[in-house]
Amino acid sequence: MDFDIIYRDFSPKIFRVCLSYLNDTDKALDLTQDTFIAVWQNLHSFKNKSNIGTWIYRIACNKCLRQIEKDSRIKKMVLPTQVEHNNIDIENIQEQKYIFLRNCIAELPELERIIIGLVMEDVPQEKIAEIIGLSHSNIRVKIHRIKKKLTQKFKDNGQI
Amino acid sequence: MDKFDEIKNLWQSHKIEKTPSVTSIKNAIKNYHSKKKRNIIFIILFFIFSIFVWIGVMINYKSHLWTTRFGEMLFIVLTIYLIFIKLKLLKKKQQEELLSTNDYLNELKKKSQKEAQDQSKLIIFLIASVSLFLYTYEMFSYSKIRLIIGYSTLLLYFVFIWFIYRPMMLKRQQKKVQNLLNKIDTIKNQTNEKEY
Repeated sequence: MDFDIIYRDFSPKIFRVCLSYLNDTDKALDLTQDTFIAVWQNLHSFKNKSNIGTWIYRIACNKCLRQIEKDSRIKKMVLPTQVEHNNIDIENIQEQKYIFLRNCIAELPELERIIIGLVMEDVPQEKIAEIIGLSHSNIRVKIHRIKKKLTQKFKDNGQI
Repeated sequence: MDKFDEIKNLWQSHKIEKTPSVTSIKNAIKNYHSKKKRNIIFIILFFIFSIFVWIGVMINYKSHLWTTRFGEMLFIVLTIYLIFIKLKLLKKKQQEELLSTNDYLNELKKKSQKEAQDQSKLIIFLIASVSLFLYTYEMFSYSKIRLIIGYSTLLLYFVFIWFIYRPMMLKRQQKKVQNLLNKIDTIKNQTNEKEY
């Protein structure tokens, strides 16, 4: 298995999963790097029993959870307050929505942040269940709840 | 389109921060490995050097009492024990990272609980104390005053370490471990929620 190809294909996805957990770009970049160091070290032990993506996501999720030892609080991003209404461009609105989304995710409990990060990357529910180590039905329920929570927050704030 | 799909599209379409190039990741891996190797070599060399120093002391210092020799031997045993512990720690690689999140949390919890009950520091302290008491006996035994002052100082030192410094460190360590265990439990409770 070629590490370069794995890195090229998965690094943006892993970065986004880490970002959904940490809500901090620099820390997410560090964690992405740590994940791929672990991938490199353990690549020889990877047996094609599971999908390589599932395997990498699992490492990334555990790296994220390891952060609890560092007692880092999830920081919130500040929404831009001064928007000139007669000159609102689409990019600005999208940026605001994106920051709002990141803050909504940051408010979720740890496990939900990990699950939603994987959902956003289109990881199938069975794979998420495998990564987290819970039953498929349990994960399905959790995903449903998280989606509902996020959608509701967006609706309440008039973001959709 | 589903409302959540809009949210997902927003997440996926956002321009992400550029992740490092594969070359810089490989460099980071290389640095990580060489740092690890350097640490192992440094630890081994340091302990080997300590053993040689003790052997040198044993050869040069002509002791007349068995207590000195026994103290020296204990110091060497302690040094070997420390090498063993250090290497074990370095060798213990992140195999747990390959587990599922749920199993990983269980493993992390087990490890933290084990850490809280770790007896190796107690063993090290006891061996070091006994060695020092035995080793210094010959030095102090020449006069009664020397013996009293020497051993009183040593005793005071051990009392300070054992009854003041150690409980302080233990308290700090336990607080840290307890915090971690609480956090692990909180996350574990999130996995235990009922299915319906």
